[in-house]
Amino acid sequence: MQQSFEGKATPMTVITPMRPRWRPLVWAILAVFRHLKLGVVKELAFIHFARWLLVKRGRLPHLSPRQPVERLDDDWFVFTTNFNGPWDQYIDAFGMVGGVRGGLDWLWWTSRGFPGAWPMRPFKRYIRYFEYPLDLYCNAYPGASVRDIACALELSSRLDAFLAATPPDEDAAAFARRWCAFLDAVAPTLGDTGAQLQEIPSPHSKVPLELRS
Amino acid sequence: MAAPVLDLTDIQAQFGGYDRHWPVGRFWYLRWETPDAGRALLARLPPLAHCLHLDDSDTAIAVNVAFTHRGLAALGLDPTMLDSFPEDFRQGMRARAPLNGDTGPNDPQCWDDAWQGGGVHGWVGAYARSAQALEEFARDFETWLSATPHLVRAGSEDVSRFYADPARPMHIDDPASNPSRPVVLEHFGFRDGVSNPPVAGMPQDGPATGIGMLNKDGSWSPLPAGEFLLGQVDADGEVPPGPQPESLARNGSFMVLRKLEQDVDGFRAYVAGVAAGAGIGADALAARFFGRHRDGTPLADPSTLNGFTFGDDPQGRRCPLGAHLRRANPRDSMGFGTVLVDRHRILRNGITYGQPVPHGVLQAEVNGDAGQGLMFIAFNTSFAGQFEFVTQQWLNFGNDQNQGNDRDPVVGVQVPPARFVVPGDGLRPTVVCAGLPQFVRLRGGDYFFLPGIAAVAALASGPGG
Repeated sequence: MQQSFEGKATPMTVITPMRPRWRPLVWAILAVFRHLKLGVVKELAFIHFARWLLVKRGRLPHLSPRQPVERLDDDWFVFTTNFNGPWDQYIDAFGMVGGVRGGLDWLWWTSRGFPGAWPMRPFKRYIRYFEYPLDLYCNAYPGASVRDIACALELSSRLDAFLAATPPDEDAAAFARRWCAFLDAVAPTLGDTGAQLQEIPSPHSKVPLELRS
Repeated sequence: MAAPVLDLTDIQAQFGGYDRHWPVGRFWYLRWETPDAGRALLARLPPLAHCLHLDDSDTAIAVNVAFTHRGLAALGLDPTMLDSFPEDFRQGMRARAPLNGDTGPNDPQCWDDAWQGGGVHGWVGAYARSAQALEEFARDFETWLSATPHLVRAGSEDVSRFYADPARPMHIDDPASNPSRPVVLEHFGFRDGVSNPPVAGMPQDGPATGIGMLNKDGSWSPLPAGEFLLGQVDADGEVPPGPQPESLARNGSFMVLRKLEQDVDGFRAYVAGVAAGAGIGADALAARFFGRHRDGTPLADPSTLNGFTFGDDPQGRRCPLGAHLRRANPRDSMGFGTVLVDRHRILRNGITYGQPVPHGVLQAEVNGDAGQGLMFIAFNTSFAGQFEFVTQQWLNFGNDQNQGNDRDPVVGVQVPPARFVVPGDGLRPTVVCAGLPQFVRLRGGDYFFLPGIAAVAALASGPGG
């Protein structure tokens, strides 16, 4: 599967089969996770968001009467996320950051064949196997990453505050003094943003070579 | 975890690096038109230099050899063996130019002649204790080369190390910024090669603090050998994918070779111009590009050479997040100790070429068109996961360092608006370096496989051997 969506964000959807008898347990786990403060995901600043869903075997979309009704053995556990940067780095972060690894073990524990979030290679192979190819992906701001947006929001609020605090009759020296202080304050947020579309997509940034074939 | 027992006599010396005992060298880029010519070359080389007690050996010359994938194919290797190499190595650096940002002025079409046409099959690197010893070896070797049929000399490169010298200051505007000790310098006049990852099982120069892997208890460990040596366990506890059979991979490593030409005149002029406009010293500003002062003292913590972290400087006010050393190895900048960094380290053992350019002198006055720069050499067990990752994600992109699209101010491939922001620290004003020119230009190179010494012998023996 080669995906070449333009822009800085990469979508990932992983759908794993799960025995229906685990349903109550999975609901319970998801309910617990919904109420946890997942600060660690925020700290992993390349993750936009991550979401897990349980789709019951009888609730798969039935789009027309002509679509045959399927009788499936398994429920489906859906994981969907968006992130910046390479696939490899993203999955590495899952496996290597202790807190995330424990959480993933809980979430995927009920999925068939889940080898655990560690060691890395079987875990990556599992994700890769159940990763679903996407035909369509809408990205409203292809030139922005999560970090870009966080920086831009901070810059714009500080700029608004600076402008609001600027008296119309301020003399040049006073303005210069305040301007330099403002520049110092916002310096960490001044990275250039926007699309560099021809620069970002690359085969290996999506999938590690050893897993492609 | 106990360090693995490595057979240092089977690991080629280039992997461990050459020190001040080996100040000069020459690289040959060779091509063999028949498998026999390639094997004749391997048979002709003196016993290969290895990592154990290199400096104590009584030889005056140390020789190593490495192969491109085309070179291995031209040796007549079995297709199953050839296909067992990872895809990045099979493709080579030229084919992967877009990943590494080797476009525009760095495009392979602009590389030196040695890397055009039929390409390079093998790299032979000879280092010597003296220029005289090198000349003696080179004379015999080149005579033999030209007399050997089907062996083509695609090019060669003289390399040499140079040291800080009070008689040859390299500052821009502050003479006091020159190192007071004779440290190894690169051509912009900064100390080089001081923060390589310590490799478990290899001889250690010093503690792993700051440059190794940060453990949960706050201590530091060397990187697992498998991050750099094939056939060893890596940071994931796995043996990295490498060529089959295992005996071909053992004690081998993947080597990146890049000839990086440095625009010393351009660097000095640009930094001087921006510094003058901002009202700060040019050498102080230049240090922000690198993350260290000229003598290697880190901006992050002047009390140590390597034992520092960035965790307490998240805004880059002491050491800018965009500085070269912070991009190339973010240490703990990304949180979670160093776990997000440990899989992306490279072991650098490069050496400069060309004569140093003293303060106030232009490059052309030193050595005409020959230029000066760095023969960048780096080892890893995955080009894609290590060298290419660092180049693509950290040097030519800024997201992980909160720098947006901005690129490494020293080695990045600059694309307008090409900016480098040096946040002020309260005393020094914020400086926005705009319209960065490209200071480093790629003149050629490739991805090589540096086999273990027993594996080279096996390659030399050939099919009936």
